[in-house]
Amino acid sequence: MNTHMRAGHVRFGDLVAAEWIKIRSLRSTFGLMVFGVLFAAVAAWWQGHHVRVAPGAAAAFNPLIYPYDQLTWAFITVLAATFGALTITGEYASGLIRTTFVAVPARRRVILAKSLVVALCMAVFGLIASLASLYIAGYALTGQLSGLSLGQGAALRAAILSAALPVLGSQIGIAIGALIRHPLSAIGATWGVLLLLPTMLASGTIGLGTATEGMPLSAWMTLARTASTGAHQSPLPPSTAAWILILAWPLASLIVTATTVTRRDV
Amino acid sequence: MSVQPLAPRLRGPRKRARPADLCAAEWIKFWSLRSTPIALVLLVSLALYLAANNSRHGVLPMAGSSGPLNPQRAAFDGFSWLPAMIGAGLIGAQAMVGEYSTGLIRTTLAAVPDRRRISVAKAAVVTAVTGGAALVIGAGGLALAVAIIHAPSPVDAHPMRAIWSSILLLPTCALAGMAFGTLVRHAAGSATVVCALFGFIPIMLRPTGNRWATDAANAMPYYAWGRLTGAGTGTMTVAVAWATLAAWAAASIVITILALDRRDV
Repeated sequence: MNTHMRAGHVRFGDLVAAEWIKIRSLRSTFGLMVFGVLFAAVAAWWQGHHVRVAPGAAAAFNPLIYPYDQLTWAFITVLAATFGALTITGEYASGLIRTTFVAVPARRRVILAKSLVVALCMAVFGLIASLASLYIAGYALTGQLSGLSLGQGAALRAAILSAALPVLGSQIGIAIGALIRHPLSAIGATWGVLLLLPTMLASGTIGLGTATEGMPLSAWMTLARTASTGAHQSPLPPSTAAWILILAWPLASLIVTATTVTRRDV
Repeated sequence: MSVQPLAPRLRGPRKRARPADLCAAEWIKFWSLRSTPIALVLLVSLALYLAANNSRHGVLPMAGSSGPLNPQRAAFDGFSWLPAMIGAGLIGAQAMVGEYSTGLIRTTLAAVPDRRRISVAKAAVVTAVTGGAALVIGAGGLALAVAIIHAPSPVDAHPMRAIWSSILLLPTCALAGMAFGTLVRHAAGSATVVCALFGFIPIMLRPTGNRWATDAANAMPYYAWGRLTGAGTGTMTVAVAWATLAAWAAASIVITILALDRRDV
């Protein structure tokens, strides 16, 4: 890098590089992602391994619910959200955030760069986990159910949407992290919002059953067609609403993050 | 204070801090955080709200219990206790991890070189607070449920056992959180472990699957406690359920004591 820097703005590429260094240099980042991929792979094998389809009955089964099991991907999403929350609460916990904002007073650009880097990391993570799930479940279901390869339109669509799910989760995590700023509380809140709240809403005990339709996982289940046909099926949004929701969650999170961080002192 | 030949002795007969002093110090550290009372109030009010709500609308289908709704099922519905379990685990983790993230742990260990006593004092404070919260949630939730459900639906057998096991459950979660905090020493890492263990595993594993899943689920404090309250789905005997909870608590304390004692910081 040149020792004499241009006056004025740093380029956006520099900000992205800075955020990438912060993420890359954490050992725990790598561990979290490896764990997530392994979990997805084992869960896909486990789901597929226990299925016994009677000959001729395969048409009645939706094969996508085995690689893209609802609970497994809720877990993957919440792991990604944990990662997102970590990237921002880590800066607050270590005090690095002060240095960051002194170095780059345009805080929105920092947030944008951070969100972009986190989203890219999670896209790679999601893609690996999604493809591993698809092919491992396909292998476990060999001879019983077909349709689990990227050549099939429905499977391709589900694979792409599932790869996008961690991206979405990470943006929610960043927003919660920016709001709470305290690592433990932020992670507790993230798991509460993404894992416990949907289950509580779906049960109807809180009296907001329709709010379940608005949760990110519900939108994903509609679009990827991965809703299981269990006894306690949660309500799903219609397709158009699901597209809006799946775009609105990360965008709203980004806006919340940018607004919170700009309005506060530190 | 350790006795050294050349060090000037403190006035008075005391050479080392009494256990009460250590507990007082840990209590000050614990209670002076703004987030502690906020977290406790949130936990208790959410749990009481869920108990009242279960009494009005019935328990969650995923809790697995069947049969008519009675106050004990409503007050000790497993799923409604998950936030309290996670919260207690996070409080326990915070008690340990907070010291590492601020660096206070060095001062603490320098002030009291016998580290095992610090672990014990910390565990005592965390146990007392979360046990108190469990008492309020358990007894209060049961009272609310009895008040709301007017029908002659008797409380299941052993309402006191349900309350006592809850008073054991939340401190167990807190002590386990403390053990993870001591091992991981990193706020986000230990929070993730606590959330996964107490929030996700009870949803993922049920003691109704194959042999392996049943054994694994029954080993979790959630299902042991559910067996004792009569509202859960644990399939072990009552004695084993008590032993499981106690083993989690004891193992957590031992891990905390050993890990802190054996390491440099």
